[in-house]
Amino acid sequence: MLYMISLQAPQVVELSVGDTLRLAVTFGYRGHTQRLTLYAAVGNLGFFGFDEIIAVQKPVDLPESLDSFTTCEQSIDIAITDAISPRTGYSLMAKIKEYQSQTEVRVSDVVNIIGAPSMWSGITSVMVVSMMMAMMGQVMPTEQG
Amino acid sequence: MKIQALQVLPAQYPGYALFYTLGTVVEVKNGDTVRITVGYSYRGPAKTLTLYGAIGVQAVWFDEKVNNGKQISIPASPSWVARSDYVDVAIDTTKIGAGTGYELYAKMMEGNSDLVISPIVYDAINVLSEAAEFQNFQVTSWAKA
Repeated sequence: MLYMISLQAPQVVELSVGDTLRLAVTFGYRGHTQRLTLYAAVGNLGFFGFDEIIAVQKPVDLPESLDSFTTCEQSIDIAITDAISPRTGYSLMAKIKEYQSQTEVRVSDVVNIIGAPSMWSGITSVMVVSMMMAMMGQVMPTEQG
Repeated sequence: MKIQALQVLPAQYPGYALFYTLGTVVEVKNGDTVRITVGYSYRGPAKTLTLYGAIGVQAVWFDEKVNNGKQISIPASPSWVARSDYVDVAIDTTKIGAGTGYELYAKMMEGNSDLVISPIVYDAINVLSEAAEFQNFQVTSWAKA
């Protein structure tokens, strides 16, 4: 079963390379105590499914709960690396790896990756200031001996 | 000495046994028992030996996850006699995690010394996760950490 989360105004987070995205999930669990794998990814949600760009996983210990569902909360950190290009509208996916069909959820268009300022933009601004100063030097009257 | 057969004594159905032909993958759950039957020929004086079986992962060495040994009495025999014995290995998922492709082997020991070791049977055992149910799995927050 696939649960699609649709929010009226989803919170959009803006991140740069080097940042960490912390993703939290909640769910009801019924079963024996066991260690499973929480899996999360940032990527693109498209016609052919979820295209993962950065994916992480970690073990989670679930409690013994045989008679009723116990609410569990877990979080996982995703390090933003240069594997992902600066752009808006990335999506998130999370699941329990061993129970993908019961747990996989996706949240679309909630991550924007901001590009680091490039070397050329710095050089351009220095060049503009230099050119302005040079022009001012030509316009301003100079004292003649 | 060769491993002749594998059986599963399911915890859920005491008194029953599931027979597997060698070469097929045996699927077990926590609490089940794997019965390893070995065939061998013996000639010599009467002896009391230990038949030992283990399930684990073959890496540089055999990493035993679960094992068991039992004493067997072999009568004196002046000529070669074909014999068959078995050892039961209990599946305990606190020691052998859910996963696929576990290996197994058996050996005959006299005291602490290995007398004869069977060939390893590769990719023979899959340990299934306990049945579990999830409810309302959802991503509740995502933010820069």
